[in-house]
Amino acid sequence: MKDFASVQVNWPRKDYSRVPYSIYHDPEIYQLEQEKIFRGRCWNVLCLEAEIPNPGDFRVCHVGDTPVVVNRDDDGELYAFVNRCAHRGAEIVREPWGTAKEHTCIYHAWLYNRKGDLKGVPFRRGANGKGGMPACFDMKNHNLVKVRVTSFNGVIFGTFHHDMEPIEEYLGPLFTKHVGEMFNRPVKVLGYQRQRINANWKLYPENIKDAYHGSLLHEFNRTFGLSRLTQVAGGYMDEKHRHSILFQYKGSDSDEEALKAYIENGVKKGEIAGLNDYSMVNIIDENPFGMSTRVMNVFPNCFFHQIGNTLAMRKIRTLGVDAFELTWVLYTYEDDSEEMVQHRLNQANMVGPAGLISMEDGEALEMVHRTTKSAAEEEMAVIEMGGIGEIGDRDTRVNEVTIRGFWAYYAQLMGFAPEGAEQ
Amino acid sequence: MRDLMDKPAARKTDRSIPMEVRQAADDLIMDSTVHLDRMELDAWIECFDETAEYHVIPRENLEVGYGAAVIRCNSLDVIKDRLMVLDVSSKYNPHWDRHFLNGTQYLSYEDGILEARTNFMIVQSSLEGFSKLFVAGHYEDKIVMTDAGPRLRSRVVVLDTFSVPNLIAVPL
Ligand code: FES
Ligand SMILES: [Fe+2]
Repeated sequence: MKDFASVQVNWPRKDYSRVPYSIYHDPEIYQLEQEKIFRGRCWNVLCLEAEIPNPGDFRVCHVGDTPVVVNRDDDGELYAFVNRCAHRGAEIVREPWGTAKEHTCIYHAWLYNRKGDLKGVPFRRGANGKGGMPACFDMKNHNLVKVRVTSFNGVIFGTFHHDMEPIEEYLGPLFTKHVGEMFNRPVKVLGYQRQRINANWKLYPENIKDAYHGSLLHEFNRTFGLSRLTQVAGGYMDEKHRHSILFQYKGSDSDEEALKAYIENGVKKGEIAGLNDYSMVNIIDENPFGMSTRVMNVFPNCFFHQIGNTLAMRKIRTLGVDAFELTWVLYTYEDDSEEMVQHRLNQANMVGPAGLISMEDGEALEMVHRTTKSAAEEEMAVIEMGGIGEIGDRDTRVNEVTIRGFWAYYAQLMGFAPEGAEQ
Repeated sequence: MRDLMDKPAARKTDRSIPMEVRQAADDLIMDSTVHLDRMELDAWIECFDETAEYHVIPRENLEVGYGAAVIRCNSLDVIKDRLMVLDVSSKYNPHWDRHFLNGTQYLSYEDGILEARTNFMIVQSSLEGFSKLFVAGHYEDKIVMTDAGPRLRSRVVVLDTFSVPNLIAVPL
């Protein structure tokens, strides 16, 4: 294993209110993240059970960079293995989804079952009495690398650590409650939206934890009152500050008072525009906690949103230090009326790569990544909105403390948290 | 291996469709994309009929049979709303687009509705003069012949490049 003792990060403040820009660009940090975060002591989201409903169904998912095949066996059980042949490393499953009895590597036809156990090696005993594997070769020692999987209300998580705590414990009570509520009955997948963003992956959880930008970058939010800094809102975390939920209550401010506040704060483009068709921003009441929007990050690669009536699990896959893929898995409930399904499909206009309140995020992240590349070692992001010092929950969107929560947990896992740092 | 080709089986050009109808539709399809390249969005919307729909659908969703789109405009009103939002609130990478179309395949012409299919690629150039292939796919158009000329009754943009580079702001 590579020695990463040399990987150091200069945190000038113990509350993570300064983040050195180099952290987005250092290839050694990126490699260490694969080991300590994605293959480390975390539960990574893989996919939804509804994406692989039948025996034999599989999906290729990613844990960081690592391709992982998730599949369902005849008994309905879920199994996952790394998609790398135990012979000489070829990719085994070559289609992103499908149904298969077993998996055969095309290179030399080694055969694996759905659990990832090696079941066949052609010409193991040679041919015509010649060649073949040595007598000491035992197939049992050459299974694929297994990923432990667990399903939380139909959301499949995986980990390389077979002794990870149960998922409910990892989520903690707040996220068990909210993720559990979003998946409190069987769901049906509506489809995918994907985008490739030329930015370091950490900028995405930062963005999702950034309550401050929601109505400044996304003017649609401000214009139609979906999310405004003047609303009743908040940013909460689990006790380790690694997961986050941002939420707000539409209608808890008035257009007039919002317009006034934004103009007073120098945001000139505050005009309220009209739509021809308001169904897109019309929210049918279904959140039992009354929130019009909630967006969660379950550390490290997993996100959930309820934005009005659009529901999705989002996940990221790293593509090197400079890029990641973001996948939005849109869903509906099996017991939804056809009308509700259509409403959710229409509201999906707000999200994804062309989303009226999400397209800007891709651009913001690419801008940050591009310009911080040339920053000097001592140049840093300033994260002080919502206060400095102790990391905790806030009942406002004028808040970035949740971002500091991300860095605090991240630095601990990476093993380079400064002495006496906030946690 | 699963059939990743178009479903149902590829259809052939209907050669009985009058040349002047095809020619008029060719002009409409070409004009619609040139308007987008030039950011003449008011002129682009004029290419649509009053009952028009416009959808951008990731090819993978069509292959699996999922209904979600990345842009879903069930009416002309919703198309107009998207353009209004683009104008007043969206922020995106400053760029120039250029559509490249190949010949259109005309599949049927019934009750004044022409069914057409056109492959496209869009090359995107930054304002610093760097170009790259942005997306590839095809248009599935239903074109209605009106007294004022042909109009798009519906355009479904099937997106092969469904892992979208960054974002889609300007319609495809
Ligand atoms: S690399 Fe897979 S069988 Fe040889
Ligand atoms: Fe955002």
